[in-house]
Amino acid sequence: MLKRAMQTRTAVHDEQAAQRQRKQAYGSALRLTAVVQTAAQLVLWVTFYGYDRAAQAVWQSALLLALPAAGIVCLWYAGGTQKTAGLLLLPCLLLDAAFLLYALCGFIDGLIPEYPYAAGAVCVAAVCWLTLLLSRREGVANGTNVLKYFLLILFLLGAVFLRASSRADRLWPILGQGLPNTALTALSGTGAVWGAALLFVLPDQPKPSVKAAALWTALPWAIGAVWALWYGFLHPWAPGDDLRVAERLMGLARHAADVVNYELAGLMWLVLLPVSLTCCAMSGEILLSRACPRAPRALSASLLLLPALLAVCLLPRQLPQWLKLLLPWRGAWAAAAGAAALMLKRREAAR
Amino acid sequence: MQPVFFRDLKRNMRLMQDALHLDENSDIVLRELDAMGQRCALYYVDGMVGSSLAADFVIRPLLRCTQEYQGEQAVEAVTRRLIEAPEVRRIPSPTEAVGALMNGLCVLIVDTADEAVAVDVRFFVKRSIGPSKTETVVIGPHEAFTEPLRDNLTLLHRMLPTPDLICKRLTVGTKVKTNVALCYLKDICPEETVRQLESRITSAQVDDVMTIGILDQLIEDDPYAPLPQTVSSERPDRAVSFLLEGQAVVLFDGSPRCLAMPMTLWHLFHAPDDSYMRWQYGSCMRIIRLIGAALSLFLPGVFVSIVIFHPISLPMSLLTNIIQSRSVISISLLNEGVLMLAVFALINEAGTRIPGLLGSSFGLVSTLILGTAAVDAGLVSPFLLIVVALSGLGSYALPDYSLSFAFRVGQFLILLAGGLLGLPGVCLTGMLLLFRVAGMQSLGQPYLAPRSPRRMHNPDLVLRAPVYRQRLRTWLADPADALRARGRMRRFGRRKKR
Repeated sequence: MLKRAMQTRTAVHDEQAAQRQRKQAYGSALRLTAVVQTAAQLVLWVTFYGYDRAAQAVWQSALLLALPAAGIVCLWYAGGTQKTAGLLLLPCLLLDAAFLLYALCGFIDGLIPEYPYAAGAVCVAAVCWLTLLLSRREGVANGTNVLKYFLLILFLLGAVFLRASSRADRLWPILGQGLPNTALTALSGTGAVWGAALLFVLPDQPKPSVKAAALWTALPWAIGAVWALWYGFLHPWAPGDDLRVAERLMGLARHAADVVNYELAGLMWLVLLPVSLTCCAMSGEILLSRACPRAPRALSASLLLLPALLAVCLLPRQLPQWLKLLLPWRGAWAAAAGAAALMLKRREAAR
Repeated sequence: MQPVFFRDLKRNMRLMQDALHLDENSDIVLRELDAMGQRCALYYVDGMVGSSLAADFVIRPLLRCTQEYQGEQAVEAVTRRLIEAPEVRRIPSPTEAVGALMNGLCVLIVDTADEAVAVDVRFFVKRSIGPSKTETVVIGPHEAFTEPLRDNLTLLHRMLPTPDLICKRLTVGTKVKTNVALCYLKDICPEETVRQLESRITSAQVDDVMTIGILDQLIEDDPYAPLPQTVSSERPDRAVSFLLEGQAVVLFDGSPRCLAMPMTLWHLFHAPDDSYMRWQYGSCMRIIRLIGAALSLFLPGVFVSIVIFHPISLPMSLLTNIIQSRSVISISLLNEGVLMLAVFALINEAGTRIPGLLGSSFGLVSTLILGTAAVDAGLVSPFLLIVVALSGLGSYALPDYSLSFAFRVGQFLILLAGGLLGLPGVCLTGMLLLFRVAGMQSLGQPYLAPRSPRRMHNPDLVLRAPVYRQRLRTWLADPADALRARGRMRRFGRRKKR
């Protein structure tokens, strides 16, 4: 009946259906936080490590191709509700948080060199922690849901306005290293896609509908690929470890003809990174509070932020190298978590 | 107090005397009379009852009655035959009798009867219905709510002539009971909404609730939330639109405003004008309001942060002008911004409180002395003056006073964050505020719905669709009655095929 009104999202006839729709909407908003977090990880991976091409060990990259997918499938079958499996995902989230905080603090340091590096890190971590405490899970999920359009617009502006003519020979720096090297670099980025596992863990309903889950899982891949392609058009190509974090992040917009576009690209990072970091901390808080319901909220909210903050403040020089080595392994870890979840489920079923 | 009346008038009068402190309180009038062969006592509050009404409809008919009645018969005769006033009811307990008396009713106690009779002959001094002062419109009705609850309910009934309009009378306050009306449309407003709101109002455990603002704070979901969780309006047409959309409306005796719950952030950006004008104009006005809101919240903070930390983002000519104008200013840009916002808030507050006669002098002081003279004296730069004025203008574009106030407080936060941490500070504070607002609820409903989380909704959220496409009520209405129109809304203009 209500389908006649074109503006409706779904047909609703009674209170139960409306209730169901509300739960789905909340689950969808919650899953979006995982998507934003995953997309940010992929884009950061391309910006920081994919930029320098083929720096990863070959065997790691080859190994990591199938693992994230296997973990996701396991979590799918396990229902994603196992408490222990949820806790097993925490190291991946911790790596994500450290990576995001490192990138954000480096960027702020580049924008405002007047302040010490650690001050920015403390401010960012404190604001994210406060946001988590004040806004609860619904706030983070719904707020990210509102911001998604804004983020998308900034993402497009930050990249499209680089004003580089899209000549194919500018892809050469990537392809010139040889297809295997380029492919392996891309594969090492698959570690970032472990976040797709969160799609199956975060909502209260254990198994989301196949279509929606598949679509959401595919989205971050597309964003990562688009970002990599845009980097391919960069001219002149400027690889190297000597680039500072802010320079790397603003790599695309560096060639923007207009200063406003340059600023918009900066704004994209300033919105994307804190939002992703908050989403990441929220995921950790959910997993911990699911496993230990009695844990104080302030503690579970700081579970990821505090170690990440310590790592960023105490190891500012070593952290990029360590992250480079560790980040691809998130896929393997997520796969292990998925397998553990499946095993636990089977054991419970056997009892 | 005694739970029921005695059959003896003297004891009942002593009871009332104790309850009403008659030996000290000279405002309560006691008229003793002989009617129906019995002694009677009539109580009323001086000034709350029309003397001629009481004489014509209560006292005279009683005195004319020659027949004798006793006990239950006497009460029956009074309520059914003798009293000529339209509203008469029996009151079984002294507590209720005192409550009725305080609400302006006459209370009659007859000897040998164990019940009193309350008669509504209220007539008191009140303000007449006038135009709205805080929600003015160019097109549309100009009536606004007034203080007496009954008049406000009359306005609602007149604008919404349907038996489905339910007005539940409740009282709030344990010692001083103030009348509250909970209004909703049967079948359109969900039962859960009514149940929750009623329970929140009646469960308020406080001696007295003097204003609707206090009631608002007692029934809202989160007392620490930065934005209002009810829509407050003084326009009956707006209250009617809330009712038609499935929300419940609370009216408070003595307050010329109503509260509507549940609500969302988007309601605070809607103005009555939007619906009276064509959909294109309404949409345009809402976009302008949103731009005003963004300017109000972010402009001072972004300006200060860019000039202090990211001057390279500005065009060179503009940057040169700003630096030139700031070269004679002795205080830092952040302090200057805080000072200007504080002065603007001061002007705003003073403008609200100032008596009308002094308005012109006030305008002179604020524009000449605080504006031009401050620039000439090198206290503030003209650029910042423009920025603060623009942001103030943006806050005035918001139709809801509470929202505009919240935005003005928020702009201080953003300014401080921008002045101390640059654009990262603005972004982080913006994120904190957005997520905090996104986590808010109004009567259990998410604050940013139906945009986030997504819900079924009418295309009248930010942009308005043509009226014929607005087929749904809001998602706050009962899902079973969510459709406003069945079939085609416009049944003309399409030729029949031969």
